[in-house]
Amino acid sequence: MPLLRLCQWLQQTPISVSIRESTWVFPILDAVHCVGIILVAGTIVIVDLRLLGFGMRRVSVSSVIAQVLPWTFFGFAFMFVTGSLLAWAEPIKLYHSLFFGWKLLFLALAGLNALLFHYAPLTPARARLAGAVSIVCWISVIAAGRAIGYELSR
Amino acid sequence: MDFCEAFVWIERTPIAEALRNSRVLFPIVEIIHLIGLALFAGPLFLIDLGLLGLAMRRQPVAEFARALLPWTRCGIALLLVTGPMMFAAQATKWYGNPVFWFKMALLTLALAFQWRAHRKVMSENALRPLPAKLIGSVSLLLWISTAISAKIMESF
Repeated sequence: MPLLRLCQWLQQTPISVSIRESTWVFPILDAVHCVGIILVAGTIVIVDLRLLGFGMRRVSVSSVIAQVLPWTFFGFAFMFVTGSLLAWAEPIKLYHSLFFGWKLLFLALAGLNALLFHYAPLTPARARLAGAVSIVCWISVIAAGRAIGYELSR
Repeated sequence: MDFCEAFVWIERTPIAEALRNSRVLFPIVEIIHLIGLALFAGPLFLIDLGLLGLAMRRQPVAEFARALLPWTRCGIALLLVTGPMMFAAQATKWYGNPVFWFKMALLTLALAFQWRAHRKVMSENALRPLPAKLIGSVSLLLWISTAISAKIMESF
């Protein structure tokens, strides 16, 4: 398996070893990662609710998106950098983790949904669908992410 | 009944026992806690940044704060139901954890501040820039410290 061999190679790199073996780096990365995900999900849900016709109804959809999305990306940057480092620390465990696969799948779906929303011709029904799909995807990312923690500590 | 005995009693309540004895119940409650957190913290983050003049500048802060209020309330309700449940499941473990007490102190401060300050934020009269910036930065500081200490208390 080339992917497994890649994970084995990653696992013995100095950065992986030092994150794994430090007392505080891993929990701090974990804390920042969690705050990042909460920011991403918590801001994008404002857009999703607007698409579904709730929340900031006096402001146009495009104006809500223009104002909120930069902060979603801000949270995403924290989530992505810390997430990559956390994965780098435990690549073999994550290779065998069921929930890590689910998390990546729902992240990819959330991204695909956002891209389709951005580039495909938009009807009100499609906008509502995009909002609902996004909410379901981010709840699943959070749920799968939390489940990885339980899976690894077992 | 002294303080520590109260914690033992909490840990023996049927809800606490059910949470401890099931492999899936606790994680489910924890995931609902995180969903509540996102629902609460996302809008709050933007409101605080709005008070600092950094985000959501196209409409008054009070207007979008009010528009999102039912959802932030929903988030805080989820937090305040699931938080005590998770605490009860391991009450005696938390009793001896100084970071837990630190988090609870921060949380009490943050909630009290929220209660007082965000009423002003929601009101019809726009806040003057300086009080607005003060409220925004104190709120951000309190909630981020609460979230980080919540994460640290698990590994302490």
